[in-house]
Amino acid sequence: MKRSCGLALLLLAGLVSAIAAPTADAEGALRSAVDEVLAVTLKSKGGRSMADQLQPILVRHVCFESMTRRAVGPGWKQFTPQQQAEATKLFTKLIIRSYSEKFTPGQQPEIKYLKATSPAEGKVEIPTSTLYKGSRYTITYRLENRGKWLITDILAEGVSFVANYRAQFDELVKKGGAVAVLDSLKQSVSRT
Amino acid sequence: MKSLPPVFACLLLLALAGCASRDKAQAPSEAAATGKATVSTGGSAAASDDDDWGDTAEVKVDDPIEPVNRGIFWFNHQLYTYVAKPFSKAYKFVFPEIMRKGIRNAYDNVRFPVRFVNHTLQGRLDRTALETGRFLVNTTAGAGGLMTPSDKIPALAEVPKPDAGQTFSKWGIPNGPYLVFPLLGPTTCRDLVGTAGDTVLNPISWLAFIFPGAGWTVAVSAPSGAHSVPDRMDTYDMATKDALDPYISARTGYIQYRNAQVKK
Repeated sequence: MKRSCGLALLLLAGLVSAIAAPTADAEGALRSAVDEVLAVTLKSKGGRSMADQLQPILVRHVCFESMTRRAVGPGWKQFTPQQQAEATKLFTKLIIRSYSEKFTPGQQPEIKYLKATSPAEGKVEIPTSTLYKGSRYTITYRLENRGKWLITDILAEGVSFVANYRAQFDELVKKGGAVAVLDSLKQSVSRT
Repeated sequence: MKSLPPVFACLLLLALAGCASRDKAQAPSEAAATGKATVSTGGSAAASDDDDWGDTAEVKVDDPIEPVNRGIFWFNHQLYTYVAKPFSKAYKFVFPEIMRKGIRNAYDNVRFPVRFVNHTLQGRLDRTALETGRFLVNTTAGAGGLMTPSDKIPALAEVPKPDAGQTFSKWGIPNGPYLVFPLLGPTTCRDLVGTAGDTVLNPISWLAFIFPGAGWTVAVSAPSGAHSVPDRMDTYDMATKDALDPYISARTGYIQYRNAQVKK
């Protein structure tokens, strides 16, 4: 009896650690990305230089190809491979610029990592409670395992980067397909 | 949408029933004809896609007067650009961050009845108790609410801030049509009525009833609007600055934000 109880506990412990492992790995990857970003934002003087400094870090930790594909949605299939590559490149620029503008140089946020969940295999959602410039925000990170854990969406107070752009791309795809999307992206990227 | 004249609000209460029943009754086939936009955001439309999160599924936005809303959005953009942003800049210059934070905290503390009633109406008596604790701690140890020592107490630090719009949503009342108001910005029919209810519960607005015509009531209530302008401008910029279509970005952002608040 004791032996079978011990075996059951061992199996249970194995199961728990198997479930916890992906969320722990994903959280480790996220912490590392956030730490690298904050090291830059603390020293940066802001403006374009902040985006330039953050770019190599974000490219390492964020899957921009997945973000672009999901933001464009079903219309992605209408794009040629060249158009897909161009859209990804432009969207990457836009996202990096937009993300960089959220930081005030020298301001250090207090981040509390909350309980991560795994809605499906290879996907982990990590909510955080972030105290920044006196206000508290719920920032949730979505990561996917693509050989390594990469960020595929960020939700600020429930507002998803991907979902927000999806709504805008939907209208453009309906109006003018890939060409309209690319024209609009070019315009937005060139805007200062 | 923070403060509305109460008479206007009462009229809108009548409108809510219409909004709600209309929303429930509208068949999908009607949607295209009436301007109901169902914006897929990672849900069913891409359900077969292996990287679909099936997250927010769909952000449903009923925007039957989109051309009118877009017109008001454009007007607000001019107003924000040429009036509110310069005001925000001056306000930030005159009142440094620490003072702005104190003012924000104090007005937030005064709104305690709004949160107390809404927690209770949502049946979250545990949160009603926490909210009361938060109010007492901040009022006593936080110099009347200028500071928030409750943030240092884990149980009190992250009590959600409910409003009547969220309460209506918990009761099953749908958003109703999306609306954009001059100066006040985006809302929905449900949230508009909710704002009216919250205005009635806000002690700042009681002053105008108790002391009608007294100039000092304006002096007390005006900063409650003024102090929120810089934050509102920051939010507006965040939602629209890098948008491909700022109107859609603000609309989707508003609906997602409100949906997330209701889930808390």
